[in-house]
Amino acid sequence: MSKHGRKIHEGNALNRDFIAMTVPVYLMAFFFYGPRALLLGLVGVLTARITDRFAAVLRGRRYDSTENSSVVIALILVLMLPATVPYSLVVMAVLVAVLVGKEAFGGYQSYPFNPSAVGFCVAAVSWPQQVFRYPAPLNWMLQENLTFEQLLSLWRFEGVTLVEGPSMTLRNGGLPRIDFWDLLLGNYAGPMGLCCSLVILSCAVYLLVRRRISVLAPAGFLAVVCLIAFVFPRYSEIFFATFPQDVIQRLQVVKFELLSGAIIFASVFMISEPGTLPKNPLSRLIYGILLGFATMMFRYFGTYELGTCFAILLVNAVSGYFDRAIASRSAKKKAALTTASP
Amino acid sequence: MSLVMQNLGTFMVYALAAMFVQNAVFTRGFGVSRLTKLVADSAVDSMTFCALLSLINVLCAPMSYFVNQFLLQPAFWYRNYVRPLAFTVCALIAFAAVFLVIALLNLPNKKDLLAVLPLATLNCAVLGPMLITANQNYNFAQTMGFALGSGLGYAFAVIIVTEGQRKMNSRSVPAVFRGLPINLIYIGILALAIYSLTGHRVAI
Amino acid sequence: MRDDRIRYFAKNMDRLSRRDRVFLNNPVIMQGLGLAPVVIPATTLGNAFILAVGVALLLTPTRMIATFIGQRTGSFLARAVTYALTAGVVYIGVGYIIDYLFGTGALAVGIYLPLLVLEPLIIKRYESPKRERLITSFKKGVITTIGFCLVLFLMAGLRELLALGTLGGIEILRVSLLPMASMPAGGFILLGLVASLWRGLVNTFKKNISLGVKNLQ
Repeated sequence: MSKHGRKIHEGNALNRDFIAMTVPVYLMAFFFYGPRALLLGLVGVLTARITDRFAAVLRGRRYDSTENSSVVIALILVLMLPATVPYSLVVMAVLVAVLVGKEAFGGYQSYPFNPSAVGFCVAAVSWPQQVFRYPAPLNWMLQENLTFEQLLSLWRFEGVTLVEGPSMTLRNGGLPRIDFWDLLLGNYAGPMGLCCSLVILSCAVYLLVRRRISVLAPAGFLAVVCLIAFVFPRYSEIFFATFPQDVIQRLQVVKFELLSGAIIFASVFMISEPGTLPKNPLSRLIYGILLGFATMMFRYFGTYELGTCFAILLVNAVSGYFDRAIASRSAKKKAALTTASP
Repeated sequence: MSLVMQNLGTFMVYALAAMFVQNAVFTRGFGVSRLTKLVADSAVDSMTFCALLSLINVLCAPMSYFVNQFLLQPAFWYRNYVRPLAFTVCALIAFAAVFLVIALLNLPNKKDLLAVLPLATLNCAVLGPMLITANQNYNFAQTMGFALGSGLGYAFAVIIVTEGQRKMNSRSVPAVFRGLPINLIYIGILALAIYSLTGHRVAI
Repeated sequence: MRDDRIRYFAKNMDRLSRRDRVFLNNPVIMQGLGLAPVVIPATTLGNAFILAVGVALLLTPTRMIATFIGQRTGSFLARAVTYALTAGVVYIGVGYIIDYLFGTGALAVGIYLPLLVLEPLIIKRYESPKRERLITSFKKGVITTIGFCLVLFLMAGLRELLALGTLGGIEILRVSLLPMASMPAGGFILLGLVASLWRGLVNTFKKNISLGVKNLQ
């Protein structure tokens, strides 16, 4: 109970931490892509809030304004989109994420699929042209004598050349030409929140200290991604026969696979989402490993370059199984122990 | 030898494609009506059902292939109209074969198997793959691979939706969504994930 | 609602919620039959029309003929075989008529037309051992067809409007609100939402009737 006598929702503090940790990422997006990045986030949050209210009316319940998980869903979802997407796309994606991904399954933490991933996948399959083509960063600062409207590009992005991201280069069997520090800081064309890996990792440190995210699932995830990228690189100049000599090149490929796309972002903000993460430590590890495998499969054989969200949906569907399997195994062990010791 | 390997390769590729990329349930909606019932009531063991369905699928495939080759002769201008009937007969022949085997083998759960068998035979997930392989003029290896993959793909879908059912039963799904609607949404979201593997609308 | 209607509904609610195949016990929404044609090929009103003609021509005759033959057989297996084969035979005529009416246009629904032969919507009746009279099977066939076509057109219209912004080929909206609606995934999710709304309406209707009865007493 707060001092006003109103009951605060159980997930409020946790979600507040997640919201706080998206702020640095949004600031980076603001730095690279201008104020429009922040506005998109704002539109997402507003849509999420309104949808929550609407869902409460539909369900005949009182609207609980301290239940802020939809805000997190919207903020994370918007970060995965490029800064040039139209506002209508953000509204539609957040609407589907909150209404179908969250509320239809019963609201806070009862959803089987990560709602942000649902929203992103809907946007991706509906408007692949807008979602997978990115503006160059820092463009808005470099142009000379901008008008106010051009500076902000608030309402629409016009006359900006869109390019494909490094994930696409990897898909085509090439290596992107991006400086290491640019890669870490996110100074290359990509979704507005996924590129600044260094900032995302520092957010992860805070979340880890506050015990908001688990270590095991992301660790398994990242390990498998690295392993697959190292053993089966997509770079067209590496073959099996050349193995021991090309370790440097292979490591290059691993670096790009790991830092481009949504790998780091997903492992910090999406995998540890408390509603869909298995409860048992061992099943968390298995969950991460399976997710890493599925992600690489979707990246290698899927249609879209950001396979992570699709993989999350697929693995979410089976994640409950690990918990049950391990619980029943430990129950059996316990039973065996009690029968063995008189 | 290389011909055998080549055909085996085709078989595997088509089986995998039918299982994941062109999953019978998630991309084509075959047998969804049965699936939503199957996961809802525990009276019918869904794995038994899926095993029988895969078996019937594989048994039907060669028959449907030869029937289709026969119907492709120019004399049969009405081939499109009789195809469903011909394929249903194929399914019923497979049904009779499986029925006999189960009846003769004297399995312990014979009664349950025989009760589920008609449901597994007279199913869109059996007729559908046959119609697709006929429509797309698949060769023999492709037909066999597709049939096996369709059966396994249906089982994959049943497992995954049953898992979801378990999760949603124990949690607070709104009353109007309980049952069919939430299952449909669940299948829809998985279809979304599978769509990114397919990448295009499959030919219907 | 008028008092006598409330009394009528209250008295017959059990029977109606079993037999009313249009609203209270819709074959698609309540029983989950015929999902595949609604979810996959019904992306435009035009496609829905072809499917509706197919179902209308196939459902009632199949049910009547199979009932007629099935009366004499009786066992579960025999009934199953009878219904499936009857549907196959009836489809020969249906396929011919559809070809005559729509020509190559029928390709838009592809294999979902011949697939109707084993669709539970058409042959589900074989699972029930209860015998029915020929006239009953005719009535039920027609009313099931109406209930199915209602949902079919509703869904097809919704999907066409959301995905293409048109209705029956006529432009209504300039933009496409949700292109996903014409994909299988969109079909499943939209049908789930429509079904939940429909069920909500049915619940409200039943609640109102029972409230109305209490007020009358």
